[in-house]
Amino acid sequence: MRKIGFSVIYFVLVSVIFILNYTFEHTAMVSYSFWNITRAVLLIFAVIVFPLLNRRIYSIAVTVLKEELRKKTLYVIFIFVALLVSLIHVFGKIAPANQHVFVGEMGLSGITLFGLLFGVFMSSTAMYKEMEKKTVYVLLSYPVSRQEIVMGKFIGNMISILLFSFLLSLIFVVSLLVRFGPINSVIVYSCFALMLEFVVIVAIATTTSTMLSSTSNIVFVIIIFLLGHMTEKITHIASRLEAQRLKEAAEVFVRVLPDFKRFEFKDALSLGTVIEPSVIIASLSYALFYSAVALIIGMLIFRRREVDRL
Amino acid sequence: MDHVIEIKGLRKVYRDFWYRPKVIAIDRLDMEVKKGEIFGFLGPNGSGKTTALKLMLGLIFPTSGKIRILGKVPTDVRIKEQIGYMPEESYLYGFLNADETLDFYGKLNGIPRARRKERIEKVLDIVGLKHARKRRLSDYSKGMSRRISLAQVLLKDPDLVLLDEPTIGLDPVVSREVKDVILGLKSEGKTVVLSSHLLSEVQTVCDKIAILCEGKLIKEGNVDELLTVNGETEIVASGLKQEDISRIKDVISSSGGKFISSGHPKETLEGLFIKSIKEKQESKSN
Repeated sequence: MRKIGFSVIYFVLVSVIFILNYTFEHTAMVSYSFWNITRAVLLIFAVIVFPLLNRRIYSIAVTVLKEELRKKTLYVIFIFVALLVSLIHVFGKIAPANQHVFVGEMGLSGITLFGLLFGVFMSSTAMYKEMEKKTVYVLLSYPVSRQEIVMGKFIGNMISILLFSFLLSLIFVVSLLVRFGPINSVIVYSCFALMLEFVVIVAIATTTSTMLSSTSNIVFVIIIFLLGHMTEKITHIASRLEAQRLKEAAEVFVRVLPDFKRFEFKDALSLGTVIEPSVIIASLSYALFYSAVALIIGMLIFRRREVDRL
Repeated sequence: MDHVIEIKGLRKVYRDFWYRPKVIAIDRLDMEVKKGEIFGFLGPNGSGKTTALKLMLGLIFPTSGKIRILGKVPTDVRIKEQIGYMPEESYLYGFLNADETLDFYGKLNGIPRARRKERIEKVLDIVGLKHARKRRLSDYSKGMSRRISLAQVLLKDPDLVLLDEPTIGLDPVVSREVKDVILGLKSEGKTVVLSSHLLSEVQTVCDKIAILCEGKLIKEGNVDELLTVNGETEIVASGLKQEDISRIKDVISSSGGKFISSGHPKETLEGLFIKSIKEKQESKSN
């Protein structure tokens, strides 16, 4: 491991999955459902399990998790949002005809708000704070590569946000079950999809925190979050552009942006349509692949970053 | 490997946003540090001492020139197991306590669990922080923060120790303890490079020094050789009477020499302070 380096193996693993994906999506070598599941499993291994097998990344991730779990402000926000999502059914009376949908949307919005606040503020400062407080000086005097530091920070932050958003989702779903009895499966899928969205936000914020200051990064990630939810609109506007170059540039821009619409099932909730598990699995693969690419960029930037220049 | 550190033609230029040269922090630095030496970097604030240490650690990258640490480039993570670094302030995680801090850094250095436990006990004992091991570092005083910072260096049992202003802001007692630890490292055959602008500190512990000014090396050499005043001889004796001193003066002038001064040697203020504190503490414990 030490001779080849973590980042090289990580890059190779992600590249192999990308090539396999390209091959299988453009040929009929294997069935879609088989590749959909295999791809998700491979990506879980490459993006989460493989880094955690590295003891240095694991140690950094555990320390990041400890830091987050010891923040009192986090618990204040968490308790506030937990109360909000558990009592959200009270507001259902506003829309008595469509209580399920209204309450579902409100609860999911609450979890999104928490995830966005927590994810953006926590991860946007991840690497920059290390440089600002100079803790990275001591860290780099140990046999840990810069790429492992970036990955450790990401994994730690990702576990923190997944833990808290899972707890919020659980509180939300249980409160709905208590109030309304059996609930629409779309709500459960939406909670899971939101967690995937948070993973992407954490990956982007961790990457950009290697070069941007905390405040600039918070603004940047919030803009990306908003644009990521507007990909359909941007595509629509781009299609109406007359200048071909501008159209192409807009298409590239949309491709580079994270497509957060993949994690949003509000339409299915309001229309009462069923979501296939394969859609969720595909969203999982998208989230992990996007995160992996973002992190590779982050690792490349931080590799040559002068840590005393802020 | 005779030389632990080899630096040739090292230059570090900080640039502005438009990539124009802003500050020349290190200018054509050449130096070598041998195994087992205590090497001191001297210089006023902003002379490039800390920059040189950062370059040796691979925290920043040279504009030109070569650096070899333990025979390898500073960015090679494999050498970091053998390097201990104590920055000028305690740049450790405030939310961890001493035990957790040392355990974390021990894990990063790949020290096996049993040995890690044993080493943590030992270094906490050396730096005198056993009583505060469960307290968060954010609650530590400046002196305690320096001690835990030193503890993470000792935990690694490194071959090369880089210390940036190791005693700055410490009271003379803790400062003396840190100096004793540095001398202890030398007796174990470790190489120590320390940067300081406290001249007495460097004189007490260093074998060799380099004086930096505006990024340039202006003097380098063995401390004893550099400080020896050639052409003069100092005699220290006890139990002499005034007439003996007069006779010595006569001997000196009859030998063609020139008597310059005589008097009672003075203790250093640091020595007096530490002696007084120790006497007070001993009388309290008795």
